[in-house]
Amino acid sequence: MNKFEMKSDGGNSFADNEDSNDSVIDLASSPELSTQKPDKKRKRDKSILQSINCKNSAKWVTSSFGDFDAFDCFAASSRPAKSAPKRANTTSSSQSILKVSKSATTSISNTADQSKASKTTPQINSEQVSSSGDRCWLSGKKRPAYESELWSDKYAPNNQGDLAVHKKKISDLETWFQTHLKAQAKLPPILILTGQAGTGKSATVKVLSRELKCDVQEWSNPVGSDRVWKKRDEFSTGPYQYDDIQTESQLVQFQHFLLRANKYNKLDIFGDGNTEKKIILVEEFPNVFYRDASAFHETLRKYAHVGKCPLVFIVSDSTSRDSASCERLLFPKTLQQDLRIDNISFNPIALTSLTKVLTRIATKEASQGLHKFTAPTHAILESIAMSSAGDIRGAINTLQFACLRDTKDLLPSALVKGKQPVKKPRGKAKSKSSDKKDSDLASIGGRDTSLFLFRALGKILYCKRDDPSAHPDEPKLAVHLQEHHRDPLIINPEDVVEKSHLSGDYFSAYLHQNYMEFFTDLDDIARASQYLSDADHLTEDWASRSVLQQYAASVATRGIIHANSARARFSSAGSGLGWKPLHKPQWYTAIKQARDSCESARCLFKEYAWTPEILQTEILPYLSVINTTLHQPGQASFLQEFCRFSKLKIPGRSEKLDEKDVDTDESPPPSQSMEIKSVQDDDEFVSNSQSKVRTAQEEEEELIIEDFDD
Amino acid sequence: MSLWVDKHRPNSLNKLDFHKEQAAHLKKLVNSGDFPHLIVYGPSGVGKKTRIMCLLRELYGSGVEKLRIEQHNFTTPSKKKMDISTISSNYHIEVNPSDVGNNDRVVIQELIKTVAQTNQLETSSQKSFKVVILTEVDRLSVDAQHALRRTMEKYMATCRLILCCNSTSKVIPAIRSRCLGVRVAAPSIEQIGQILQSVCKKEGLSLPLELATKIAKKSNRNLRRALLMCEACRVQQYPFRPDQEVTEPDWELYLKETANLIVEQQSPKRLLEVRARLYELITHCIPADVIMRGLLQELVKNCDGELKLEVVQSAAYYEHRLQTGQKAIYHLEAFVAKFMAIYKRFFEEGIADLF
Amino acid sequence: MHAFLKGGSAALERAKEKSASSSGDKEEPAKKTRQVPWVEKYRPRSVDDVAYQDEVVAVLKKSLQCSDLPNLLFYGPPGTGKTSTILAAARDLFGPEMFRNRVLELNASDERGISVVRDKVKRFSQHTASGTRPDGKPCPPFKIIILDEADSMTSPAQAALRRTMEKETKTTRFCLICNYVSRIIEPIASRCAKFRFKPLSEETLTKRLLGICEKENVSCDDEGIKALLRTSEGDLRKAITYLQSASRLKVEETITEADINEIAGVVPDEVLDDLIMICSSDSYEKLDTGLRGLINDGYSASQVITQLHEKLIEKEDLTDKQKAVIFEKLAVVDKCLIDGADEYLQLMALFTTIMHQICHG
Repeated sequence: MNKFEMKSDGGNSFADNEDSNDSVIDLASSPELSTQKPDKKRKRDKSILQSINCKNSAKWVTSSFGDFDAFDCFAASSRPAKSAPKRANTTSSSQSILKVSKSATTSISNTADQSKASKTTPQINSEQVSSSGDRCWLSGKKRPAYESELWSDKYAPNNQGDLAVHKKKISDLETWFQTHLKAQAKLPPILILTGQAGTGKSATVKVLSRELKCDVQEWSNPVGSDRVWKKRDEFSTGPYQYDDIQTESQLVQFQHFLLRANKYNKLDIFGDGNTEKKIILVEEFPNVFYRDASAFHETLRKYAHVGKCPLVFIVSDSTSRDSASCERLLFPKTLQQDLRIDNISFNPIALTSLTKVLTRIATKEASQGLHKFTAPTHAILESIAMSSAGDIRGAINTLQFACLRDTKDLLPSALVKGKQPVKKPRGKAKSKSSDKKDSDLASIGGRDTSLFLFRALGKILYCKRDDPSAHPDEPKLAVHLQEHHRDPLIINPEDVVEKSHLSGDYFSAYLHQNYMEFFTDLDDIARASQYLSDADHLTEDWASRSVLQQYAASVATRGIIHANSARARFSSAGSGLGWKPLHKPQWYTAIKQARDSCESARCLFKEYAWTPEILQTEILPYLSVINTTLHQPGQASFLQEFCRFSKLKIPGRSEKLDEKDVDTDESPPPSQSMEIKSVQDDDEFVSNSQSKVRTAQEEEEELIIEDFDD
Repeated sequence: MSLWVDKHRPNSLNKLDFHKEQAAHLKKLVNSGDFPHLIVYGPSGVGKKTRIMCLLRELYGSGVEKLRIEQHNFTTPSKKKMDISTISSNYHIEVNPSDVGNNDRVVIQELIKTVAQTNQLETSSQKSFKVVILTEVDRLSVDAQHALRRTMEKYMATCRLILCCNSTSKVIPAIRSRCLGVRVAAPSIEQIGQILQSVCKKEGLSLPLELATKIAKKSNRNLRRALLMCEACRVQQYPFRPDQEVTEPDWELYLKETANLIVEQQSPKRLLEVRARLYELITHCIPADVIMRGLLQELVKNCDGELKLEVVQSAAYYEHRLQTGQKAIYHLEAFVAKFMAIYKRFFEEGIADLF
Repeated sequence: MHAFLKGGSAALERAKEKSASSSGDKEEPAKKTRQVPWVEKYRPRSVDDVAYQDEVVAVLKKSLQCSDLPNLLFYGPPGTGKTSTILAAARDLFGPEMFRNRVLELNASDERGISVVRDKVKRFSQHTASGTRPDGKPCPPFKIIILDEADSMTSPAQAALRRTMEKETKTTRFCLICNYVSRIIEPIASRCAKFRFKPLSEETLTKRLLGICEKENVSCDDEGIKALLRTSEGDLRKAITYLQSASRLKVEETITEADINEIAGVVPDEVLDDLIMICSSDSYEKLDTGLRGLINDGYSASQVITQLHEKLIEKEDLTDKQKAVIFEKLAVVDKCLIDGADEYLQLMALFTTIMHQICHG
């Protein structure tokens, strides 16, 4: 347990020497502690320490303004500390704590200097911190007045059973670990885990590695501040300067980490046999690599030469397109081929598993947690689960956040706005009642965009209208334009788009994907599609795109609303449509696939030297018919994939899912089994069909929202 | 075993199968030892590149046929790195600058600069200049074309450019006027038929004239496609039968099916099906304009005079938009929806007229 | 070699004139006669040689006499001698020796962002120039910066230029050359003496072309010359380039109309007439075949449009209204083609419009 906590924050607070990696390794390789309890204590201790650190610093800053009363709870926490200042420096652990707090103090003193605080404060502070750390260490059982850690950490899964991740994925990963920990291939095995944030990628790796009894060494980006402040310490004159070789050293450190972590494996023979197995985990990438991916590729290739133990990369992707390109940037197809990199992608956590986990945590906390509160109802948990869109970490955090207050508040009608601070007095929240109409768009800390988005789409597509009799002074259209008459809207499309937090471009893509099901008349569709086309046409010039995007979104939304003549009247609002599922736009996946296969085609059929269009429309289709002997094994399988069109009556478009389907989503669609690809081919050119295999994956992206048409 | 298209490619100006007169002119041009920059244009599959390679062979001898594939790295002013693959011999280098999208300008400038400069060291070759072949010039950005124009003047002494494109419409006049234009028209149906037969003869096969003509017609005067079709026919069935079906690429059949679906029924549901099929085509790297053209061709077959006009107009309208816009699917779908609406209205009116 | 002193034309002429002292020149003397494009070879050497632009020449000569120049702005259609004029004027001012040190020619295709204007132009203009030539003759104490195709400069770059122009008036004269004066920002235009270059007359063109034919020993029949005049549209550079290209293809043969048309990519009249005929037949299928044939023959759509325009505007059996409809479509199609739309579809759209107008309009 402890080892896995040696991440960025933990590692750095203990690391007092310059090279934080060394200390990470040291701690990580120390023999496993026999029981779980001290582990937990220590962990709690550490996080307490951190929270005190930061809170104290907050205090020091504010206290210089003489505002003690507002910080009652902090004062309470530091009061007992004062009573035992001499306990410091007694244990080695507190020494390190002291050092850390020193560095923290310097930072505080900086701020303090600026705010003209008294000179003695830093010292006292450091004592306070260290001793309070001790104090808590000793009296760990006492309930602190505030929450010390996030529930998402507290309830991190301990075994496979705890994982909310789909069984199939776990077993995929387990198989991968088992095969690669045993066998030594020519190249060190490398795996990329992809998936949305909070789908349990890291948790699964950690749980599995524990169960398989192997070590995990994790890379963490060195945090610059350590070094910067140190400099300040040693040469305290002059304005401080940021370490400008930081980027360079990050790269070097990363290389060192990979290679050293690797070497270490061979030396570690004195430990018990368990530690011989080892996995290197890289979850965050040094920033340099985003700018200069080739350096990363080089490092990887180097690793491929000397490395032995499995290397696991975790790449979170989200709906934004940058991250997709990040994956492409860091792990281009060619690299994946050359180094035989495997790829497992995690899906958002299913609603049922998520609700299960939330229920477990909620009941536990309700009975044993810091505050007493009645366990939230199932409906509330479910709504949290739903709003999190498969992000388990987000869901747990939301739960924790929500449970800080009375659960009565969790009733959807009174959901607080996501960004509102917790401590805000109630009166103020209520004073915002003017916002009430809007605030039902929001929810506690859920994944805003998706939730907003679904509602927003619904608002546009269902386009509810107001009773025209409520607007008697509405101007009337001339007789020959009567067909364009529409009753007044109750929404403002521009507002809706804005609240969706999406660019107009992206929003209209969603509209495009979904509008058709809301139309019944073909002429209306023709008109609506024309408006969408107009919207795209408006933004064609990149120079003016940022400005015109808003107008384009306006054209798209209003165009679609207007075109739907079946919903032109107030009276027609509630009729006919009923419940419709919404889908994510296919365009981006389609275009990504096209780009990928275009790229693969170019790489694989280099010797044909045709221009891409000719290659794709003429040469390849005929090549597949003609059956020439292909020189490379990759070509054949690519061709097969490339030239296969689904001959279904309704191809591509998956069957519509509804809420029930998500609930019972225990057995995965069969196509997913294709997603793990370990390539044993010894030829340099390996199968390049990754991009195509995943076609079935789209199906899962279809997401469901509740009914708007109530 | 390589494709017939590659295997039976003529390798000297004398062996070219059509436009022999032009070939003779080119030969004269080259034999004078020097030539201006060339711009070779003509539709796809007429053998522009073949012609260029023949020209180079005439110029440098068989050394130009020793080709190698290289990767070149470039760094844009904004520090973005990119690489592009080129095909080159000791005497020439061929590159498709549109591979790198918007950064084509840098590629053109840097590449030509490199070629022009390295050449000076290599005095042993009998010609004082190298040749740079740029393909798909019509896809170059205007920026890159301007850069090209300057580069052309600057390195006239050490390199010659041969530009290759489908149409000169998209090439800026400044470049057109600096190059000697060589128009390569598509071979006629008869010529293609003859070429097919002679190729088959070389392969030791006999191709009936009927089938040859049939293939030639299907190929739409595209020699490359004709050869591919012919080879596919051979795989499908040999000995050839005159009434044999000519194999078409899967995507074309798929596209035709899609067009039939559109004509069959006009409803929102059907439109959704069509959309899914359009996505399928796009993921298979079929360019949107090709889809549009294919759809139009099939759809128009089912229309009457007035209707045709309207359909063609909207096809042109939406095709223009998908070229400039970002999301081709919007425009393709808008076209299909428009067609459905027009077609449906037409039929309903027709039925109303009957009563 | 000064990287910024690389104006193609200047370098070439330099090479010709001072082949003895060609220190860094890339041209090999043996190849030189072949490689120099005729456009460069027959560029006017002095202001007097400049063809047809009498008003401009008169003004320039006057200012040459007093050895001073205002900032200049030349505009007019391509191939009317704008660049030639300023180069010739500079040569007259500085003589061949000083020429390379005193003239900086910047082209649209050179890097011409703000930074370039600020750095290169500044650096060049900051050196003071003496008032005497090496041979002792007096010469004007300034340098000339030629900004060719100034209309393709971004407006921020132009704005940056305006400041520089003001600051460096002591040492530098600017000559801006562009096709469309409207694309030059007002503050700059107002700082320059503006000269409009008109398209060359047919006689001038014929005279020049025949002169070149004679010097180069090329035979070209009358029809050929006429074709040159027609295809070049008053653009002398184009005409000369076509002539040179034709002479290269047809070594030691007479250049005919067909050769010129082929090089210029002109669509033969018969083809267009055929298409118009098809239009009056009101058959979509025939039109489709005809157009596919046209495109398969490699003719470019923009060329078709230009020629079609000329043909239709004189066509008498169309009413004004019909023509108006057709030409509006023509304009749309032209714009679409520039945007990169598909040629076949655009031409189909155009010709179906024509068909509709002829048969039903």
